[in-house]
Amino acid sequence: MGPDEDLNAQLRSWKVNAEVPPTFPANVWRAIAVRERAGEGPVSLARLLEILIGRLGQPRYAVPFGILALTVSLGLARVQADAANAKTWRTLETRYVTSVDPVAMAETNR
Amino acid sequence: MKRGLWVLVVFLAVAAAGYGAYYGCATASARAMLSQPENQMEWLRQEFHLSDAQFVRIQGLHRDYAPRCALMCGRIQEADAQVNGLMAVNAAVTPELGAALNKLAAVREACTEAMLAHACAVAQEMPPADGVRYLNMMKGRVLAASLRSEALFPETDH
Repeated sequence: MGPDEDLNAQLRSWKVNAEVPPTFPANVWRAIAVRERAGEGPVSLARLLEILIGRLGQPRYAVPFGILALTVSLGLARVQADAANAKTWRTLETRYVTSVDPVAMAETNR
Repeated sequence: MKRGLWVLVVFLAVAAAGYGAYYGCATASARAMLSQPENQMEWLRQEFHLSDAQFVRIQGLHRDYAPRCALMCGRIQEADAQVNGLMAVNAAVTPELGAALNKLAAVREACTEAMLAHACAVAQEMPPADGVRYLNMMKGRVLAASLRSEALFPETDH
């Protein structure tokens, strides 16, 4: 009897006798349900802010946030300044036309 | 958490200061112009790229025209008041009201002609391209005023 035949004999005689406990499937489903509930639950706004503010203490979050805040504020200022200047320009145009147009002047004085 | 809150407050303050500074600087010249007397003439100078010499000549034209313009404005107001008075007395189109409406339309037309003559004189003092743009702007305004007038007096003969 060579080594291969020994191994084959061993393999033939090997039987797995594993028994699954009767509560195993129920436990698995319960664990899945618990994890799903934990994942689906909405994170409260206060908790989210707490997490974000906590991260701002670290330079790798603080620096990009600072750049973003400054960029947004300057961009907003530019857009609003352009609108304000355009409005002022239209007002001055109307004033000029009213100063040379008697009809417009009479309507303004009405 | 406390450090993050400080960082947030400081960044928001810097962003607000940046907004205020940029907005203030970007609108300063327009706001300054708006608060000046005779600011419409300064607007004309900047909008139509007038040289100092052109600006002086146009200011002269404007000064000469201003009393006539005020006089014409007074005539329009008189004619307008006459129409309003007649309509208050009699809510019907009487021959007197028709005559008053014709007079108002005639006064308006004469005023518009005088204004366009002034606008042509001003445009001739400007650089050619700016002069054309100026005349187009004035014509647009006159047309808009004329349409308003037509809407007010649709049956008035011109």
